[in-house]
Amino acid sequence: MSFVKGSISPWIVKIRDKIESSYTEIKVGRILICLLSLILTSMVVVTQSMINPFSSISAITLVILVTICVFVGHYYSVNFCQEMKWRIFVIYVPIFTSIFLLVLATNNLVTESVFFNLLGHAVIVQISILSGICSGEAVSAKWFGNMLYNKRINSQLSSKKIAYLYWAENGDAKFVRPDDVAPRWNGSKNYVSVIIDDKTIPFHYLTPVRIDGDKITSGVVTVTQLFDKLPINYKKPLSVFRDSISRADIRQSWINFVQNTIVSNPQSIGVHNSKIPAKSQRIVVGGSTKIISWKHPELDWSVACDTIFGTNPDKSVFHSVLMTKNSSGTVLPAERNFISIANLDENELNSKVVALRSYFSLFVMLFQEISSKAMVRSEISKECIKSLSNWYKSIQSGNLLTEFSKLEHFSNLNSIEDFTNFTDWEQKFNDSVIDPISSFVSLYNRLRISLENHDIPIDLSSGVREIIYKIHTDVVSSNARTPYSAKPIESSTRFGNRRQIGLNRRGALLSGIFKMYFIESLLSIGLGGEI
Amino acid sequence: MIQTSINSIKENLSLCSKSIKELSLSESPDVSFESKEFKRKQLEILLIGGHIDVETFSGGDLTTSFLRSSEDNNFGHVAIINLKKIGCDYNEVTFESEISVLDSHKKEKSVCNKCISTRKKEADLSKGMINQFTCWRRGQTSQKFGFLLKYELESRHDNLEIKHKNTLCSREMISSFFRNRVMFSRTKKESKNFMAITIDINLEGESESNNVSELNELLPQQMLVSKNMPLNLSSNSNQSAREHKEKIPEFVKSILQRVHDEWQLDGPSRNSTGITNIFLIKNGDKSIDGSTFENMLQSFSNRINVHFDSYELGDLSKNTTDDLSVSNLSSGSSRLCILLDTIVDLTGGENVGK
Repeated sequence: MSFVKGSISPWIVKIRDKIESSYTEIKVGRILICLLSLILTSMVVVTQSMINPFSSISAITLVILVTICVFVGHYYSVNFCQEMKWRIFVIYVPIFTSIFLLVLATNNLVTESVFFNLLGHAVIVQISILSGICSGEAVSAKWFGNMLYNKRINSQLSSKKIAYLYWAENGDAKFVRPDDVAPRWNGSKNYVSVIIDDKTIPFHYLTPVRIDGDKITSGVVTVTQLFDKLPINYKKPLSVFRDSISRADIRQSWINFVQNTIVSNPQSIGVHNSKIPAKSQRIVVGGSTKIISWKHPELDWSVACDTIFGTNPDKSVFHSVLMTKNSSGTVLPAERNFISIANLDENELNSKVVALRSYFSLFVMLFQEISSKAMVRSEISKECIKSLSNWYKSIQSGNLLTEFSKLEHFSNLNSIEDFTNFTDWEQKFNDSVIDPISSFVSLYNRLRISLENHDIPIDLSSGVREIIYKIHTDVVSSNARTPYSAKPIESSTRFGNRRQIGLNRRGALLSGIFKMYFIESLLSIGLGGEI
Repeated sequence: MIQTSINSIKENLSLCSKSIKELSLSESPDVSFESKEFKRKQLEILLIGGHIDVETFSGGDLTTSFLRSSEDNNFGHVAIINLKKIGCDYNEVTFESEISVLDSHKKEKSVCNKCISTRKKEADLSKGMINQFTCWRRGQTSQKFGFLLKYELESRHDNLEIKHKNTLCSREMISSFFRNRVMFSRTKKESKNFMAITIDINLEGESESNNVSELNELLPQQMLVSKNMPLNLSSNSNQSAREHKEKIPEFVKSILQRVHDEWQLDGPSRNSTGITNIFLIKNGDKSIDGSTFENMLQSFSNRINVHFDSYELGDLSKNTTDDLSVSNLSSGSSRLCILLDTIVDLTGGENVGK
């Protein structure tokens, strides 16, 4: 019995998945034919049969039934037309009913009024639903776009040296020729999807790119021009495709920002200008190295998460931009790629992943602050980016993260979900920018006290102490150098501390705060939140 | 070879000095609440960008009135803190002298310099007094800036050299050595309230070979022969051992001179006076021949105006034995103990970034 169950179950699951995932396109013409045949056969029954099946239906029932069914048919018009599972109700049942009505009209074998009463209701329901479907969105708009996009746009892309850059959820990229894919609007999921390697994926995972030798640039402008050249009445059917292309471009800009810019060229973030393409960077596409030049993201992180990625801004940045379905508790292959050491034990991997995720969240927050309208915040963020990018490189290449991994709680896989997220950094920034001195001193003291109060391995405590002393020295020495030509400042009596803090020093203080907060978070995770 | 040894000491002293300078920006040298509070306020001033030029700063009449104030909570600025409030026990300074902490940091005519020159003899190992100061600048009661650099004198390949055994200091100082893996690996956590270098001189082997050598020279003079005494017993090695022994005073003298210079020039404070005391601790009769070596130490001490004394291990107090880690001094060995000026700056940060 269990053998039969075991051998059948996979097939059942496969068929179910097939039905759920695949979609069809029932042309509205077919539905219209079913509707007309239903109406025609009903009229035949009314005129030829001894009992009129509609005579016993009260006016109130008729109104209620028709209203509800027309509404359902109209509202779910697209779903009824495109999903395989509804085909039986919108095609086969009406055909069967029509045939049955014809048989009844020509043959008076059945005379029970209850049967005719039920049949009358069933026919009214079907006619109403089919009428609703025919009056719904399926007749005109989005699915008409499938044909338009594939015939009028997709087919022209190859001739304009445009290909799709498919950035998969695991962080790998490859080119897809436009001729090899046929994007279709998926009514059940309400987005345009495409089948690649027998997998249905959202169309916005594919970004149109212009390939010129080894150079890759965005192809969105070219595709948009193709959209614009089409007659205005095609605009609505193609709107979902245009939206997908736009989403793909935004997704790509964030992926490029996170996976390439933050890692390889963080200093360029400081010269943020969304209108100018960022410095070219090397990426690996399908095993070969290409040079990509892409604009920095224009959308705010929170807005992008909400509208494009459909995630919480506090989720791991990498998980969000790749739009992976994996939870933050799993280490993505792309994250592993950044940690260049091959044979890491689990603890070490966990500590490095936590550090990496915290660093990404921090840089996304600082990038967002650069775009801030408040000039002070923007300038401070630039200072922080300069200081933190070099600092993180030294942390990553040194032994400190390995020392952190020796703390007990890094053996727990869940620890990788405890990284310092976007909101934490944003909160820290908001608190510190108002009164950087108090934030710095309190964090400084807290960190030193926690080092004294916990039994931490000597190498780790020494490493952390060295970092905090270095941070302190950096802040004190910022602006300490006086220009040789400067006129000596006359000494005056000034014993208070009400002084204006310059931008440089503020930047040094904020970067110091972020560094210490970064260390404190790692320490806190390693000690199980004890500090 | 002597240059290598000197460089090794110089490098380690420089590391210690740099570490103390950095730590003194935030760490209190004294355990008192007032000192910690002073450091906390100073840290805030430093973070804001407060910077004073010690030599030229003048607070004017206002500072004088603050210096007269007997309130205990004026620890905002070194120019308005009376020197007596930071535990100064130099008998020539009184509260009415109205000398500020800032004044004590000036290069010329600093009372701290006068204080050390008159009180060097107060260090007495037999009474367990290594650091006799009580002020915040030299007292080091927090033991965060103290250290003991331990070396050993070795003879190798016809040459004398000193080998760094280990360093004992606070965990704060250990942390600052983190980047220098050699120093870090040779450092142990043991807080000290003094800054010192010790050099172990073990000449037992040399001494034995010298006895054989003397006997070997004596027998032929008296026309005697011994079967147990080979005639040509490593005459070269005896010669070499004798040469080593002769070289020791000069070798040690060079090291002392460099240590003194290094600590004066690159010590943790602008007022660092270099070596303050030199002690020779001997264990047993076979210890280094006193006369020549001690004479050299005495004359060197006189020249640079520091205090010298010689002790037998048994004469030291228990505290001193533990503090200087001399309990394991092997029989026939001597340990040269060089005490350095423990003074640190309280002005904070004027050298940072320059």
